[in-house]
Amino acid sequence: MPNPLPKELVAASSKPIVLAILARGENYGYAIIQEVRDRSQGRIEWTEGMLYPVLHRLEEQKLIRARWVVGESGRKRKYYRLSPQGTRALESDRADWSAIQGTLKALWG
Amino acid sequence: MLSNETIRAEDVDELEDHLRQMVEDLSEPQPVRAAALSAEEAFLIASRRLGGAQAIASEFAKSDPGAVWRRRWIWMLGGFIGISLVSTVIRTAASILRAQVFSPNSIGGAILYSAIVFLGITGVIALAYRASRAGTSHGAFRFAARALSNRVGIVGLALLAMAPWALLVPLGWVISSPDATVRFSRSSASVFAQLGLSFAPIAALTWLLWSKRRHQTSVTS
Repeated sequence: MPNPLPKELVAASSKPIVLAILARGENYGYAIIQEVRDRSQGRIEWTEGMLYPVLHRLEEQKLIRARWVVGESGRKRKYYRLSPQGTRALESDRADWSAIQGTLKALWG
Repeated sequence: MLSNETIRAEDVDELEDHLRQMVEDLSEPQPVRAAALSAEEAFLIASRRLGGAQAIASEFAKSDPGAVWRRRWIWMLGGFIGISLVSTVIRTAASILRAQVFSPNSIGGAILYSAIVFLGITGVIALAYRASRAGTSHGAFRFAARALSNRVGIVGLALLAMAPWALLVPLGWVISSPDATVRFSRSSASVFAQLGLSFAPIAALTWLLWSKRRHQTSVTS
């Protein structure tokens, strides 16, 4: 298994990754962590202590919205989805990260 | 976990769902694991992965350091108003009793008054504290219980509410006493007593907050 990514990179990429996942549809914390693990082939392993504060901050910034859903088992679950502002933020993040990716690609050949 | 200031009740619900989901997943058989874990084993592993309340709280606090203080001020204000109401009732009762038993301006009356106020407020706070310890998990009481489960808040608010009123009468009596070196009229004596005593709760609160902060840094470091 490859080494985990450096902390700084994980922190910097957390916002665009969360927004990108939520752009694919409403989702909740536990599933988001799994999605990130699957999509990164295990290279990005988020912890709960990292994800929930990020989600709550994005919610405060009104980039995402949250609602409580009571499941069949009667369990409450907090679902997050993208707000129109979040969609715009995702677009600008996408441009930024593509610029970085493009630059590195050009340099590395 | 609810007793921790940095995590809101809502966040606890969210983490609880997370923990349950993790337990469920661990209880399922996996290709790499020969057998599914028992409910108890799954819970142990899931809670271990989630980490201790302290660790999660420090992560939550990092994301919004100001949140703790914003919430603290709200319950401090609520507690102050509550205790002011209670102390007004107690003070009124003490005044009535004092007027019935002692002549005005007698030292016996002053002592009785202070004792009633002090014991009354201490008693109310002790009762509230016990109620919060007993664990009211009812949603409506959560906020109050959280506020009350914080010792710093209780002691700070008690001192804040109690110090001026319980000591005002005896101090005023001393200042305006015929034996005092410098004599003041009754009304200016109260003003002086109030001014002097207003420093007591501020000093007490500052000290409590300082010691709390010192305690927190010693825990995290």
